[in-house]
Amino acid sequence: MSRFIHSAAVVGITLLFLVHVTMAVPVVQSTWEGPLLEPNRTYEQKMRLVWGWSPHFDFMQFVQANTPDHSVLLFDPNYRYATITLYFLYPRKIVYGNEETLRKRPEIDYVVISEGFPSFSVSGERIMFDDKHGLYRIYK
Amino acid sequence: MTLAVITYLLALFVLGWVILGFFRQTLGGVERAGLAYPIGAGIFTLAVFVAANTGMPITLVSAGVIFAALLLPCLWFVRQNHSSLFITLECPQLELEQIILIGLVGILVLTAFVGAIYMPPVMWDALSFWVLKAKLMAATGEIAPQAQASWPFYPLNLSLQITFLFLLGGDFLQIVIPVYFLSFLLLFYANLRQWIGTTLALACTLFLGATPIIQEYAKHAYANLPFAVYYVGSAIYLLRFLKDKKTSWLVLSGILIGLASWTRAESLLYLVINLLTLLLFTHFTRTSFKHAFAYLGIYAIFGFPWNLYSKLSGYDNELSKAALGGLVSLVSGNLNLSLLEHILRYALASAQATTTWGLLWPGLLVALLLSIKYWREHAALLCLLVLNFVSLIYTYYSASVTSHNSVDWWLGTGRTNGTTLGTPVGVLYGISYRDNLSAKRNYRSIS
Repeated sequence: MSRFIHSAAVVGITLLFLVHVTMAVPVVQSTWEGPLLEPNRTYEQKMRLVWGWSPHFDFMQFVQANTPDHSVLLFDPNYRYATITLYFLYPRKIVYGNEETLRKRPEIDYVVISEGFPSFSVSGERIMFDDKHGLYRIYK
Repeated sequence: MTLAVITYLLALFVLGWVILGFFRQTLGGVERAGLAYPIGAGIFTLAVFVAANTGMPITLVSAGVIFAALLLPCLWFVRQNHSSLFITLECPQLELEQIILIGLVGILVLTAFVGAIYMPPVMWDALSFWVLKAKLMAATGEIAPQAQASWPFYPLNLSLQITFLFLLGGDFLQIVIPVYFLSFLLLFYANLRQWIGTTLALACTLFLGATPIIQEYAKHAYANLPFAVYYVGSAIYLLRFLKDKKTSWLVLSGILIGLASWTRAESLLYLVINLLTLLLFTHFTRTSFKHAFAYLGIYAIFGFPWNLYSKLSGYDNELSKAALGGLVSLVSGNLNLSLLEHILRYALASAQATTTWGLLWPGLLVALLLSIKYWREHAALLCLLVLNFVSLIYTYYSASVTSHNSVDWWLGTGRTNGTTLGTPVGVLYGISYRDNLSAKRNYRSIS
């Protein structure tokens, strides 16, 4: 009887081990797919693989292309990608605020248009990325 | 560029290797190789951090000076103590199944390197603080701008390692993570092999490395895996100290838990776990208190610079505040049972997510059942496991009762910490039953 239990335990553990190791195959496979099938993907293409579901990455590329390196940008304080915006836009300075912030901080060069922001009027040139996202270049 | 990155990684490895020369008498070649990069990188970045706070800019030249200042005295000291820097490599006779297992583990390691090299940092936490802090520090040559990133109270070990990759041209920013993965597997294997033999140790290492979530963490710039290497290392060497009472294991465990505190902000809780285990299993003797103080002292050496800096800069460690807040709430008698039940239910449900964990938890359960007869021999390991589990639940509980974020938000953010911390200790426990079985057989055959 104990021999049977021992054999059953050995078979069970071996099966468990094999199934567990097999479960790594999809992760390994997906990791190798990119380098093997498309080794020459650009940085942008790779970023879109992960961020393609959201316009954020392409929008950040747009902001980068349309603002000088040391400009100051006003963002919606509730911008949903706030914590990862600086990574793409550095060395630009990012300020989160509203109409009052814009009035009090004359160094602000651009107001970033995103999903209903700004809800106040801005005197500046409007440059759009799509119908919801864009920039105001402030007249100075 | 590639050569510069390889040289940088090798330099940190060599630094760790030389530092570990102090433990030459007790460390084997494979485990020394496993520990070399984590120890070298951790001590190097800590020295860079201290130097940067005394006014030295973070540049490649200053890094070279700091590297030499760390390496040369260690080299001198190790030579003075007649410790060899080299080990004799003996090629063991491998069985076919061992070669296959090494090949499979090799594929996992190679996959992690390919994934980390091919993709730029893409994950949210990498972009919002780990890599962002590195980018800011590389651009300015100072520590202070890292505060512009979110979570400024998170220590800078990983970010400073990536800072130098930015300074070397900005390629392969995530490459340090698979290096930690390789170290993790080497460290794990080397320790297991002593207890259960080469084949089973290789199988367990494959089991650990093949866990989907660990595979995922092995290629993205998060500090979870580096933290796991430090913490699991500290747990392993603590257990070895409890087993054979060699002081060098306690020192090594102290260094590793200290470096864990330089890697993620949650380390205090894990220090408490290790300290409790140390005190419990040396039965509160006068000696054990001496050991506990020594352990705390080593931890403090590595934890002090960052904690002082955070205090002076006014960065509140939100996690410590939550842990304290939770404790105060419990002491006041406010135990929220429904919240606790919710967290436990979540833990049970997420443990069944095979795409994340594979069969890790069922495997642990089987191992526990098989080794239950020998619980006395593994009481310290069991204690570490239970305390790890309790601390995980407590972390979610305290965060939920002290924060405005809901319990579901917290459960959603930190669900994976359990893997990197509890798992290796758990697997270690699981396989240890074999040790007991063979010990028992030997005993029978002798008698």
